[in-house]
Amino acid sequence: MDRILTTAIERVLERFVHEGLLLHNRIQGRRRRIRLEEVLEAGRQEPRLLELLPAILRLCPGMIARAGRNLKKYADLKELVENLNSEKAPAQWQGIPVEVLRKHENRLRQFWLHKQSKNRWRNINIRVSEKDLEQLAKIALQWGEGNKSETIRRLIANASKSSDAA
Amino acid sequence: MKEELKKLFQRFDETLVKEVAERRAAGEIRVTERVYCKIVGQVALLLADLPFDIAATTDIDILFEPPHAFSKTMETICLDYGLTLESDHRLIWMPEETVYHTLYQGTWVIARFAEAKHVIASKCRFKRDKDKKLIQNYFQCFPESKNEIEKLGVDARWIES
Repeated sequence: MDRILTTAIERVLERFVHEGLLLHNRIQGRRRRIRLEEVLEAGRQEPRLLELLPAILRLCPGMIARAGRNLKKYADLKELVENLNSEKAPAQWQGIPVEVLRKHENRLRQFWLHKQSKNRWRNINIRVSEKDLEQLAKIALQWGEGNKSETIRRLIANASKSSDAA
Repeated sequence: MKEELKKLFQRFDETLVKEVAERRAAGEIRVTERVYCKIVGQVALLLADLPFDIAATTDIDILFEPPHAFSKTMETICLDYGLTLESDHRLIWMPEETVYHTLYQGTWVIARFAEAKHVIASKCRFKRDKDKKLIQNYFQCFPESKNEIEKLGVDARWIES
């Protein structure tokens, strides 16, 4: 019953909100199964969906059911997705300038990279002397690093390079 | 949405509290003035409790005073909350008369969001097709605002074309 009552545009919005791609003042995120045609149709009422679509098809096509197969039906979109960051990209798609589409792709990539890297980081407690701590702060200052975590990461990277070289 | 953003600014504030304490301890240049974060754009409309649907992509437009104050720090915090920060003053225009409502007030950070009418005025100035329906919905709910926006020197009637 719920599936019948929810319109296609609401399903698309729910999925986009669920994936953290869109914010909405009423719709809650749900992991709905959505198709490419539904996203294109919903995009007529909410153009921001279309701004995000090329980036999704390039970075996370699995979010849209049978995206690869159905994309062939839309030649202009297929061409755009294949050439978004090259000179062959069209100047605009559906009235959206290609610069806007590229900006969204960069932002999505940045967001997902940050999310993945954050999941691999761990917080640890280590015991160091006051002198070690002062030394760490001095090194951080010399290197112009923002914080001690960044300095430690850089020290580890440098030590790894030295041991690989040896 | 409001609660999430309050937590975001609270974290920004806590980061600055630590930063100020560390700088003081290290004898570095001190932070002496509070950072004002003015939220504009689509996210400001989400915070305005409007009576119709508003969708926004996850880029959040914030004007910092002083300009670029700790915006790099804020950029990282925004990413943790699934947002990307847009803080280039050259790309954001708001009327001088813009009224702001306080969202969060901390030790070093005060976050405010722009009144919906002034955000709509800003959108009327940029005349983007994607905003047409949103502006039409706004004028349907608040018909008196069209004249008020025109008085700000912005063409509110372009949506009729």
